[in-house]
Amino acid sequence: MISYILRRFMLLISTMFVLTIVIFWIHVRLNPVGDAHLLPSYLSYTQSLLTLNFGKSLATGAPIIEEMKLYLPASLELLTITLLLSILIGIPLGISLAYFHRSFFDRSLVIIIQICRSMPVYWLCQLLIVMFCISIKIFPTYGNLNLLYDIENVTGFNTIDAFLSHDPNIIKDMLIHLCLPIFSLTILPLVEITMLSRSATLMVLQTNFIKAVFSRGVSLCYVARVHILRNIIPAIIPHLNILLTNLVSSIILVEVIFEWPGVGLWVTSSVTNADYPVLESIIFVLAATLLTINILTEIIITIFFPVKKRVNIKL
Amino acid sequence: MFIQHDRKTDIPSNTSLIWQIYKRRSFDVLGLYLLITLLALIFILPLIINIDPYLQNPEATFLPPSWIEGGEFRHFFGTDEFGRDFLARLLLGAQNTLQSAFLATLLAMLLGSCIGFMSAISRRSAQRSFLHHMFDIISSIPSILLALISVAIFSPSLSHAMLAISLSLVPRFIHATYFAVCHELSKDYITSNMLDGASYLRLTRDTILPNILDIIAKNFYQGLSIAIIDISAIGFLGFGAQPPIPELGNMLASGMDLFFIGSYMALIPGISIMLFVISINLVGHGLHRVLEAGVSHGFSRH
Amino acid sequence: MVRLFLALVLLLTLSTKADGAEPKGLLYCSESNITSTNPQRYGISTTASSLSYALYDRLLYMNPETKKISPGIAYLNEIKDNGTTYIFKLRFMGIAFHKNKLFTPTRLLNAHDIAFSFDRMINPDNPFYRPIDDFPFFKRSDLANSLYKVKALDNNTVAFYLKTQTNDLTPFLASDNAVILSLEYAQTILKENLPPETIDTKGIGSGPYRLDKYMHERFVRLVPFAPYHGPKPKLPALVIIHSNFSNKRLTQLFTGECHIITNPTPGQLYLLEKLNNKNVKIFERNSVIGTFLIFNTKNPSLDDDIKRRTIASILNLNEIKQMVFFEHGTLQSELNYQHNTLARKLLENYRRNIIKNIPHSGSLPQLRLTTPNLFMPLDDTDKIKTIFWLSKQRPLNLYVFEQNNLAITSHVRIAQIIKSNLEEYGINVNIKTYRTSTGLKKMRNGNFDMALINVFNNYDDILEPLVSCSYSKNSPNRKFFSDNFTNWCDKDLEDLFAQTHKEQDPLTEALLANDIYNIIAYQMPIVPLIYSFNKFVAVSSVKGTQSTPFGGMSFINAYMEPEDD
Repeated sequence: MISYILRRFMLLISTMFVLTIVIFWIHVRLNPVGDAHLLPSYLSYTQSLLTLNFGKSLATGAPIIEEMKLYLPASLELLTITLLLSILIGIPLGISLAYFHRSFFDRSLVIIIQICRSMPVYWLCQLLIVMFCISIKIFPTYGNLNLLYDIENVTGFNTIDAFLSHDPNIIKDMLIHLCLPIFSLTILPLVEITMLSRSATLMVLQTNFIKAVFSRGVSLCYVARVHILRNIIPAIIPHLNILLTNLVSSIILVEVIFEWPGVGLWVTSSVTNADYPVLESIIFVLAATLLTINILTEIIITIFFPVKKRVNIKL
Repeated sequence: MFIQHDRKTDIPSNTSLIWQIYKRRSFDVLGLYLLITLLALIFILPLIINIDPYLQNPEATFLPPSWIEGGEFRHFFGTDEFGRDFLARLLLGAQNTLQSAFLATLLAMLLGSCIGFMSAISRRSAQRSFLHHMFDIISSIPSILLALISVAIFSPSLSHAMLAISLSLVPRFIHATYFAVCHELSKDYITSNMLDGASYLRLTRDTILPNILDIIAKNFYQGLSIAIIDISAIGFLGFGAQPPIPELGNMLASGMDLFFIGSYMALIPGISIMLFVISINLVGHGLHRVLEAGVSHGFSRH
Repeated sequence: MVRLFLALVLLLTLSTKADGAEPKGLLYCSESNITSTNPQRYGISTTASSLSYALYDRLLYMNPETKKISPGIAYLNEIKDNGTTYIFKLRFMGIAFHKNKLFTPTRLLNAHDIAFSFDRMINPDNPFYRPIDDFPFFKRSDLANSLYKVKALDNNTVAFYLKTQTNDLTPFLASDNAVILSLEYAQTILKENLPPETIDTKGIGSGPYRLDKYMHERFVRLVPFAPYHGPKPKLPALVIIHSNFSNKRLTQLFTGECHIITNPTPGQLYLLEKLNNKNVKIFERNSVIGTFLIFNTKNPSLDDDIKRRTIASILNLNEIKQMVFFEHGTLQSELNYQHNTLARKLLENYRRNIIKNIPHSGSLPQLRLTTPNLFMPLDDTDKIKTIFWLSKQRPLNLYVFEQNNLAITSHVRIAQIIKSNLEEYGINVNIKTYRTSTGLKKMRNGNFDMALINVFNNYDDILEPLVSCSYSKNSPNRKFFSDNFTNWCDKDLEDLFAQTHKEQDPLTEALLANDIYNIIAYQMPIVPLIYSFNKFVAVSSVKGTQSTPFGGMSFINAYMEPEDD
């Protein structure tokens, strides 16, 4: 197992190396450099990337690190809340769908899930805006807080700062602004996790030991919590990487539509303004983070759910 | 006397076997009919109607659909702010989106399957690992971000968006093909064929390829639906096909501006994207079942 | 789990029904980009104009209607040395500066602050100096070459020293971009070792509102500053917002997320007329966005004035007006005295003279003053010969530059109309779209045939930068479209422009303007396609706003009436 972990780390380092080459290629495409200077400029560029010295943005003249500290927390809020919600709702929903397999509840929900899977996120956002903001004026169309409110910038995370201001109007305003983006973002990961846990639970339910547990007369919830959950997690976690990558794509789209002040909006405006240092730094940060999470999840699965201890089912 | 009931045991042909297995799920059949209708609509209808989607008609701007008062039958779905017929633009836009998505997935499939295949059959572990993980960087960069990079380097256009999406689909083909071929290579009949002296080319053509076809088909239809949604997402942001070239994404974006005049212009492109993706998913699911049944002797998993 | 979720939903719905206090303040959604909190760093833009009147003070004041210049916080005391030294005196003491987290002022505004504000633009030894391209408005005026020193003679008096005599100093000091910064704040910035850009990103001024928060290209949040020397600010908060989606602004007006929107697109204006909502008012302003087609006169297909006039005569401008602007633009031929301050001045002059001579009010003879048509008639044989010749040349490239709007590029539509007009006569045109930065590079290198550009200015000043060569002497790094890319100059035209700058009498100015138009119409290096006058749309609860000379909005006397349901 140690050798496996070491090999994964080697993989991580080599892919990071390839990442720096790819980003340097993009940099050279956008700011051409003579052939003789290719290697030294590559070394200096990689060094500045790895020490997080991203330089200054062409549009504002401010250091990119400072701006990233402004924009990254807002995107992180969306990401964590979406992931939490989709896992907390998706896994129980998938298990219950598997319990009532082939019932009306199961079939109708599967159809709805298929429809949701094929709905483009941006169209869903537009629909929600049209339904809830224009026709029935409940939710606002943009931003993460009504700009007439003033909150102290304590942590940088808008949600936490709004709670810290102890003003119920501001908290309510922040939650209302949060609703529509979170709703449109959670739908896709939610249905993915639900379908994954449903198919995994169906597999697990066919094994003998589960039938033996049921014959003891325990409740469904107990079985779900104690036995099924830890057996379906190795089926779900490998798919989380792809889920996360797609989620980042969706976040960029949703941020652009709802004008949420996060990384997505920043990167699209940097492409429009031809602000290339910003684009390269964001690509580096996002790709490096996703790569690391990728390798980390693989390592976690091998440590906590080794193949020997897994239920012998073809997952 | 004994009446002999001759039970002619018909061995069904391949085509009717495919249809029999496909027919088992009625939803897949529904999807097939839907897909055929949609494809016929978008490719054959423009030839019949024969309205130029680029023709601007200043007298007939903002016409509502023909079933609402004030609409004309000639412009069935009404016109946009330039007097261009909405239905003609919708059909042309659907053609553009679908063609570029199909091309993107096809390219990705060819490239990805070749690389995955070669990495699976290579004997040297360094080469195998390199080919397998070569595109892992691409899989860790979100597809929209890849499209933004290609727009920054090249100019925004439909073909550049298509290339970016194609690149983002390659890793899944590599991984899928790699695992499928590895699984195949561990089987006994491969070893016996190799002992018989079959070259790799013969092995591929006769033995491996037909058996991994279901995995490739599954990734193809999933990739196609992802490609449709992503290409129209890039068009929605304004980085894909530039106006006046219609494409479902940028028609959706321009429909939202005119929402106050007619909501149909924002709804219809979105509904069409959804219908395409649903029908492709259903047909793909059915095809996957058929191919898989061919592989595992009629054993159905669901 | 499900119970928790339902409880959350119930909480939300209940709380929205409960009567929460609506936040008070004004949301102003601007179409032009917010790139700094210091108007000195902008060209002509509605955002800079509104920011200037909200955050800062200016030396002189210009009446937006009559363009008459009157004292602001200072007055012109004397002009010495044959018009090369201007001395200003402060009108009153007691102007306080804002305070923020970095800085608390210890003294009131005096002449040293005024000297510093202009010194930073011209003196390379000033630590806050930037190259002149970063002050686009200053660069564009004649003063960039001529102003070489600004000195405070004592606490109340400041002197401006010029190299040559010019008429432009007072209009420049009355413009929205010539604001007064705080010298003490600048010294505090240097002491704390902060980057000098802080004076532009966290601006301190002396206006009725002070800066609370600024997010680049998104919004600027202002709160009232009670010690302001003028009328007390009445708005609890003022937020200037910019979004890249111009199309959503109209929706936001109706959902209550914007109280004022600026420069709606022609489609939105059309919608507003159709909806005819009583709660919404439309104001029109004097500043204009002009769309021009410019020719590269070095191109062999366009080097002769007959060729250019032929092309201009083929264009169907009415089609552009109808199909792109939905009848909301004004063609050159339709401009009348309401838009032209020069013609208005002439009319006033004429009326006054007539009234002096007529003892009782009878019927006044009507004076029809229209701007001369910019199209000179062309001989038919010449025209046909040129069209035939042009149709055999290689296709002309028409450059179109992207704007920041999402999926709406009206220039592309105008370009298509132009292309179809020219192709009817057999002249081939290729349309090429470029991003603004790439396009400007190409235009600077002379790498184009025809281009479509938008220029924002007052109507009176809009033509000069486009056809005059002396403007480009200021720097080789032209960053904006309001510049002469046509490679065409005319000595007589330059002399005429120079004379108009010095001229005071409206009648002579009108004759000079006539001559200017004649030269441009004869040579036609640019074709004015259409002008759209800037408009504001506001909900009816916003009252007391005034316009500024450069198309912005002044909130000094603004207040919001609570809506009576």
